[in-house]
Amino acid sequence: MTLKEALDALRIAFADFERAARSDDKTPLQNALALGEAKDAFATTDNSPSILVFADINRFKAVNNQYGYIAGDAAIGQVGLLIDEGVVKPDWGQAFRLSGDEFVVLLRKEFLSDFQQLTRDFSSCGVKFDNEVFIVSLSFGYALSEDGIEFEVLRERAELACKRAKTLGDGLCLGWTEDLGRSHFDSFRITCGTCSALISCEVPVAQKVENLGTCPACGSKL
Amino acid sequence: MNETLQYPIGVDFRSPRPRSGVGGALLGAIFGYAVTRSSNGAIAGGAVGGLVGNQPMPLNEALRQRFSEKSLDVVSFYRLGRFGAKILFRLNDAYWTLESHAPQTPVMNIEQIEDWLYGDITQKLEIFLGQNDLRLAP
Repeated sequence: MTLKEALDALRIAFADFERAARSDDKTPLQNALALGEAKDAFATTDNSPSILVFADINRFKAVNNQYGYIAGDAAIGQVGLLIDEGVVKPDWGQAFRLSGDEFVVLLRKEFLSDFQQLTRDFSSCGVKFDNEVFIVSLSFGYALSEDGIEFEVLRERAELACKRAKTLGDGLCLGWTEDLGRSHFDSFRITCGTCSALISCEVPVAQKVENLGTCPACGSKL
Repeated sequence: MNETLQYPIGVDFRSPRPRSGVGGALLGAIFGYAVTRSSNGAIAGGAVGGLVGNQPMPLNEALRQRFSEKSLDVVSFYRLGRFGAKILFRLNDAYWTLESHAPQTPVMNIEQIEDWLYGDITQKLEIFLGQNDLRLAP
């Protein structure tokens, strides 16, 4: 082997290693590490993806309970394959599997309408597993990029829209709206840093909260 | 392939995992290059890696490589305790599992168990493909 051949082999090995580090092990999609890197390029140019789609398998726990966790892995593999064929191969955007049965698609805005058509196919996905066939479905939620809105907030919005889509039907794709955001609140308790009073708070989910107001007991800013 | 590998008496033979110094040499070369940022470092690292790298791949990786040679996608690998393993793979839009349990004899060491499981699962794969009359890569 010549020096040039050895260095070429090294370059290929590095490229393979980098690709493997960003590939999901159960699907042809990319993994959470790759998503962490892709968000830097999200909505930066007219051609880059600017819609964040979130999806997870409906009633996935029931699939695991009924057919076993290996069948659940087969379902994840099949859904990943369908997303790859429907979104990644036609170059509508990028797709990632996070953990478990959660998927994120970074979609280019010109394909939103096509994508919404495609999601209907996910109302019933057959999974052939060891001579059995079972059906899984997905529902989708999406959020459009907005100036000043962080990627993580967009993800929460898309996840919230997905939760709402699940209540409306399998294979549905629902966009996040202000109304949807207002209708979901997170409740939590915090302790006032000044008087140590325990205060109950409610804030809209998926909205950036910078000001929780003042402590009702001592009036200091929370 | 390690032709000298022996299993304890009474344990059926199964083809062991492939052994090659190439992986070690490559890793050594990468390490050598990363440390020295020079081609000489890569070559020296490759030489050292080749010497110490004549080790079999972990069972998971060895099976993934073997299945990929048959154009089969491995979805997941599962360890079933010390003596067992299971693999989930995709073939023609369907998902299948193959499972193996090595003889539970205390005289088999970990390397022998891994080799036996590799050989048993690849043997079962050939039978599976034969039964399904599938003509895939050799």
